[in-house]
Amino acid sequence: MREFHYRIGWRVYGHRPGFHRSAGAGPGIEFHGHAALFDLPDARKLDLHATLRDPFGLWQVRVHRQRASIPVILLADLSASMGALTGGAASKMRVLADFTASLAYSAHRTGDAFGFIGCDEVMRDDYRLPFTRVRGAGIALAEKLRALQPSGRTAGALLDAAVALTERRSLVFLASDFHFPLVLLEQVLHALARHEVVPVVIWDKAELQPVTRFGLASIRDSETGGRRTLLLRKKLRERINEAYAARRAALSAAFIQHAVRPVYFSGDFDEDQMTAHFHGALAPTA
Amino acid sequence: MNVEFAEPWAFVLLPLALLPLLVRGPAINYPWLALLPRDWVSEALAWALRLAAAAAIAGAVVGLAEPYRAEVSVERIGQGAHVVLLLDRSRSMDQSFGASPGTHVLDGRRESKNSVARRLLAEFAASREQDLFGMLVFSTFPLPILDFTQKQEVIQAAIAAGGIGRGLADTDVGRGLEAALSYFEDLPYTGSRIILLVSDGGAHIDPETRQRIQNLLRRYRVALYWIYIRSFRSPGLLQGEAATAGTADSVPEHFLHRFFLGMGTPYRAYEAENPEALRRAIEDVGGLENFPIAITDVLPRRDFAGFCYVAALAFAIVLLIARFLEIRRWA
Repeated sequence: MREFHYRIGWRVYGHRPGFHRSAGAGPGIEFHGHAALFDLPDARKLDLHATLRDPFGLWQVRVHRQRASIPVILLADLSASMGALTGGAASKMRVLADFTASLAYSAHRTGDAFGFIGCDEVMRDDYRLPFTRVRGAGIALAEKLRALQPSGRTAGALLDAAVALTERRSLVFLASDFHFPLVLLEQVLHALARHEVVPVVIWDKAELQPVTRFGLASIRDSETGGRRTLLLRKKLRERINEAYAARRAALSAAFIQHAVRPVYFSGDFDEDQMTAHFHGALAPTA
Repeated sequence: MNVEFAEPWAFVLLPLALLPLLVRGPAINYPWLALLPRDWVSEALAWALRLAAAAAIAGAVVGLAEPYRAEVSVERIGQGAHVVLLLDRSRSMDQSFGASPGTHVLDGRRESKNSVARRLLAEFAASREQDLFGMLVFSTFPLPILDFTQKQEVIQAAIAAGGIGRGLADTDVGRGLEAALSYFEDLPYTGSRIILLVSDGGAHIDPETRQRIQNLLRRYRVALYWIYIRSFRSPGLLQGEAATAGTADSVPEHFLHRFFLGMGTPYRAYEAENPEALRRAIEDVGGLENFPIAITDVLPRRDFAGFCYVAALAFAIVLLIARFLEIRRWA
């Protein structure tokens, strides 16, 4: 498990010291402006040049901006679709667990509080982590996630969780396979408009790459239980790939409408890809 | 055609055929079906397979119920002569067949008169398909074998059936003829009537019987054809026609021949060793005038369970192929 580095694009309004730039004054390196010594009686910060320039001859002190911490929260989709096709080498729940552990560790290293809300049809109390700065919280949670065989029939509680996040402006990771209607996605993104949202799209490569053998496959929807029989052949495989490409395009379009840039994983979780998303010149997006 | 069922209780099992439509087998858990493109080929195939499974079960159940068509009588219009085959089954017929006088005694290839007679009858019957054949054999007593029928298999089987074992003791041509004539009793006259006597003819008939036979032949308007099977060292029939008067008392077949000739009813004699004779006999019968007759034909009971099982098996094989094509792991 390695750390990845994230950053945010706004000034935090918060007084808890941390890594991120804030709007509040305080001990820091970033210069904000000058104030009269009477207003900010800290003689260590006297600025003689500024005092000389002051037309009223008042003693001037330098005011700096404090760096602050932010809450980082992971909204995770725990519906049954996340657990289907677990035969794959990189199943989605494993990627989610890896990501959770890495994010919790990264948040701790960055000095931010980390919270987790697991959602299927309801917000799962047993998969909920209130904001915490405890160092090992993510590891325990990741272990729990690894053992979980999700069974929720929808991911509808994502909207409840999004609505419930009325606290301070946060960095919100939205981890899911996004196998739910775009309408729900619109609602969730709308509810999260106040926060900085990073959708993490987790797909299992196996989903779009069925066996290359010609044959009949009887498949069941992991969430609705609906049945289908597919005559797997070259043409159908191509159409499945096309369907996934079209889905990815539709998701990207929805994200762009909400000024959100997604991260796609269709294999193992990769910390460097996350870092590149925040710090890279142009992280690979759709 | 009415289909009936021998074991109708088996239909209790018929609802089992709905199982493939109601119960779904194991399946691959797929995240989200809505994402997969709709594929009508797959969907049609899936339905076809489910229907095949239902049909296989239904076929087996219907097979268990044993459908059959009961025996039915069918009226058919036939045209042909009524022929009664009258076969001599006396012991003398077991003796060897004398092809012609003067053949060497130790010629090993000689067959018995009985088998020659059967072969001739079989050939005759086979070449006269539209005729109705009855059959009886006679020895001391006549043995009716077959009522009039047009079915070749039955006729051929009846002819072949008597080829086993040895002949019986005596020869009573008179009784045999009377029994053959009784076949025509109460039978409406719809075509030529023939009694085809196959015999070596070694028997006398007493005058009373002779008179009765003559009367009945006239009354029923029956022609008598005699295929004469010559015994070894027998003088034969025709070459001695002039001499019949002299030998009638000492040679029984000459006596019989003379009696038949003198009856005044249609009579023909053929000698078996001549292959032409049989052809002529067949032609002679063919030249006779026949009227259409209504024949009541009995179609035997027919079982359909086999078809049901075959159909069920065919559907099951389709399912088996699908089973081999089945993919149980997505990736």
